[in-house]
Amino acid sequence: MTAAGRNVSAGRRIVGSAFAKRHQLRPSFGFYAKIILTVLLALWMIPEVYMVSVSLRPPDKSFDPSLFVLPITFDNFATVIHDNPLLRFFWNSLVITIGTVLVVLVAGSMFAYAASVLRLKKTMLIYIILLTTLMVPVASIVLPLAIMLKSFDWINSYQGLVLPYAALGIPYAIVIIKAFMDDSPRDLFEAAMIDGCTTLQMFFHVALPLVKPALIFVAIWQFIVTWNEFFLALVVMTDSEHKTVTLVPMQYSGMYMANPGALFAILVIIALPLILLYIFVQRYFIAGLLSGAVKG
Amino acid sequence: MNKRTTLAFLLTSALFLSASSAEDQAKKQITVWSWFISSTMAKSIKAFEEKNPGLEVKYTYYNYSPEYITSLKAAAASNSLPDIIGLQPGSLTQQYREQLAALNSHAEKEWGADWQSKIFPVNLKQMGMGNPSGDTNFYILPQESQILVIWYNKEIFKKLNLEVPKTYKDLVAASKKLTSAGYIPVYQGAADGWQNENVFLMLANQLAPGLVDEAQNGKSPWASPPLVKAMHAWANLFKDGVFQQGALGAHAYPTGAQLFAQGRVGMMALGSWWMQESKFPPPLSQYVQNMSGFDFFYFPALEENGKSSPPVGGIDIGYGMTKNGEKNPEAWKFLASLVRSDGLQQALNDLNDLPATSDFEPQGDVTPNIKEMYGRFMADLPHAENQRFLSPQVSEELDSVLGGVAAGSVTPEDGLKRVQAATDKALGKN
Amino acid sequence: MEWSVYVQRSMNKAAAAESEKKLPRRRSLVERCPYLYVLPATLMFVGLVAYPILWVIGESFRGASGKDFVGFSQYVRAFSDPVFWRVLLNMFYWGAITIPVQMVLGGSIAYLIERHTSRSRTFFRVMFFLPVVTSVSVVSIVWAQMYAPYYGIVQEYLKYIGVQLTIAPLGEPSIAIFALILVNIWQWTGFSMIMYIAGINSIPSELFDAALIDGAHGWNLAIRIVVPLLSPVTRSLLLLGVIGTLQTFPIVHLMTGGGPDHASEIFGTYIFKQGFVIGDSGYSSALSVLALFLALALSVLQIAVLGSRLSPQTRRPAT
Repeated sequence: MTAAGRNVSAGRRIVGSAFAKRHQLRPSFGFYAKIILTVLLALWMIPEVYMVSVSLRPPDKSFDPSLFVLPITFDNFATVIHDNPLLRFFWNSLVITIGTVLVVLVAGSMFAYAASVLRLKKTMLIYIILLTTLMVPVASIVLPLAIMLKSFDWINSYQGLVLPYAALGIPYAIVIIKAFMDDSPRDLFEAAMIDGCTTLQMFFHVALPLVKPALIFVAIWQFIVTWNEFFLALVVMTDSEHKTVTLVPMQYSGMYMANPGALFAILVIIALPLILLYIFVQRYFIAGLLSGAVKG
Repeated sequence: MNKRTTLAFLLTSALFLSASSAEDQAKKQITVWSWFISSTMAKSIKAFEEKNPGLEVKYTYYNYSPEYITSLKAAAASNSLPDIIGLQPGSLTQQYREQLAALNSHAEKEWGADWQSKIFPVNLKQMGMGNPSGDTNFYILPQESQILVIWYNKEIFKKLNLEVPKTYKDLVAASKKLTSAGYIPVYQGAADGWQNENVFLMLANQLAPGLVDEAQNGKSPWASPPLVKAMHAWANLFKDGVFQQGALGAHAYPTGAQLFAQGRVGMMALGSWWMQESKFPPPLSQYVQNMSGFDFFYFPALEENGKSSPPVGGIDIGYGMTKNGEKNPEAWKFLASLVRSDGLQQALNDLNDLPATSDFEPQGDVTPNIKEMYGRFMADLPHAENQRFLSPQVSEELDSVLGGVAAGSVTPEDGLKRVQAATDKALGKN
Repeated sequence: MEWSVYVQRSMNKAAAAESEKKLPRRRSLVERCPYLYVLPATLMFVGLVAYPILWVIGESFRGASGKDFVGFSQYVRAFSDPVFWRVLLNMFYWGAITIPVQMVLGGSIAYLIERHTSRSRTFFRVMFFLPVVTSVSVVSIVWAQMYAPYYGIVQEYLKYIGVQLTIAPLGEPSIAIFALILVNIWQWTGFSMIMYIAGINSIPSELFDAALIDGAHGWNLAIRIVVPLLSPVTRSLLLLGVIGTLQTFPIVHLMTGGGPDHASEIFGTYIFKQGFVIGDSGYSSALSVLALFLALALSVLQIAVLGSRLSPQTRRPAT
């Protein structure tokens, strides 16, 4: 093997960028890249820093035009926690969000499987029709959905939000999962069929593992979208036992109760689980992708 | 696997659901939705529940736009409206008239045949606004009234040696002084339609009292000279630096109110409801404490020997009983308490706003200066001009036009033509 | 080949489990009727999406009071409504600016992060994604504050370099929509970034190796090699971008309400105003149907012209 060839096979095991850095002819661009990223990030984060800063301010300084104001106070957080049964709202949000994610994953992957692997007839047609879901403005369907849900007596119930959310989220999940399934080598499935797998076994043991990154991506995305959703939650959850956490902020931005510190405090609290979740899960996400990317 | 976990979750939630709904069976319930501030409503509810043991009121607070109007519409469409809903007279009441119960017979039984006599005339007029001809029923009972005024910060004025402006020229001069001293002269949340509408009504009614009312009813053209003048005056408020720079991008709540309460703003076009800030939970700014730093005046005369604006206002908030509520025998009890008994009293004690009837006044801890301002409001309320619109198309178009004129993208004359077109269309449908 | 070893192992497990089963094998329901895989998604669609869409279409043939049947007059009305055309213009600006900018920015940031950082990678990946998970209420208030000329923080810090904002971006009819577009870009670039990160990470490293050996580095490498390989991601983002543009609502409603005087009116705010504030559900439904058709037409157009492979992975093994 030539020297170049030896380098290539060594390079296979290493993630692209480390290899690139080591073998670049100029001094590492990585240094400049980091500077650019840091400056960009600093500017990008100004609104976020402002949000946290306002949540820590006393009311007389809420709208002071500076990023940081001392002294900081945790009163706003105390107010928000005191005023609202936050635990209950968090629980509601959690149940609904996780429920939605599960329904979307199950129904979406099953459909993608049928369309991509099993290639059932007419599924492509249904697939395209399903895509129209994505194009409907939510404000337009709030009214008919409310009427439907009322007729099933699903107002103020978990399924009253989980099922509409899932229905709205499944098409996007199908697009992503199907794309990954489309890209999987046909021969694996053919081999499984020859070996006598049932479609169900093939689904669980071949198809799903192959698209694990897609599943994780869909799960994270659906979690974020569902957690932050507001309009439908407003209309479906009208009594306080069932409200989700996204309905709390409106109490603090209303006409007479102007309390921006509390508003920002609750918004920080709402955003935290998402951020923590994302930090935690993105490792798996990237790990999943990498295990698929490295071939040698 | 996945299915088992799903099942587990659904089971847990079902358990949760059944647990929570079991507790509510004990007391008789009345459901209420409104945009009324929760802390004050809680006091009204407490007073009611103390007098009516065995009854429980469940109140849901909504921000007016978009939350309240969305929820109302969705609930109306799916026939799941609560017993009692907060209403504004005119277009909101009319939109839901078909799902509301006629309240006259209930009112008569509760307060006697002359129950209307103590309600201020402008409120009575607004109660019936938009009813199809021949329908003398009322679907809304007013709880509170309001008067639109210009509030100003007394301390800042004293510091800068400013007097209450008597003419428009004075107002412009005062604004200049405030601006150069680093204050916001008149904070206008021109991104919100309502505040623009209010100021325009002040101007229009100064030049021709009651003309806007006639115009919205089709009895006078919108292009009448006084209204054209008012529109020009409106544009000048922006050009002459009376309103702050960038007013078109600003919102009155929460930003404007916050800055005003904290003493960064000289004046603001609000109403009698501003006094409730003095009853908010602490910490309160020195100005808001006991309202000691604020006072009000009416929009000054546009011309040298003109008059300042008359009081404009009417119903602040009222309540209606839905057809669902009519089936609930306890619902009326709460409605009655809310608009004309203990519930109302609690709201007044919080200085939430002025009463809709002349036989109530705030009790409890009321400082002399608040009493004095309150007295002035109450003296003016019987003569107040109507501020409400009966057609949402017309008020929406007026709001858009006011924004356009302020931005300079629409001339006052063209703007009024658009409002005329919207009015004609709206009346043509009736 | 780690990957196919993994799959091989699970397949062997399946085969082993298969042979351990008692004979005769019971054919489960889903084997007999494989369309059951499709059922849950389709059912939910029909019940919770198709029916509302049909309802909305039905409503669009009614007049303002919601009771009378007026045929296509609400649609005709839309075409002669100057606000409708303003909405189309604003939506065009919105899509034409946000989509490419978000792609270029997101892609560049993704490239910098993935290829030029190692220890700080997770940090950057998380931080740039933060705006995506930030709730719209806070975004709107914070940015409204930032845009205020009087007391805004942008003004405050610009003072130090002698720049005085004389206009309020959100209050100028000619600029408002662009000010809103900037906010949207701020919030959603992180999403494009994530998609591109996935895409970049799925390019097999042999391709990088081969290109480097061929002498391509830095700029050349990025533009000539990586960008074309990322075209499936780009296509996805384009499709989602068009759809997402037409669906925008809370950010505009909370910041300008569509004003001043319809200057920043978009489909979402106009549909909301007509349906919920004015109460003309016939007209708002007609507008919804028009928005739906536009999205459909643009998506079909895109798929026809650019192809439909949306997978970010190129999993074909090299030779």
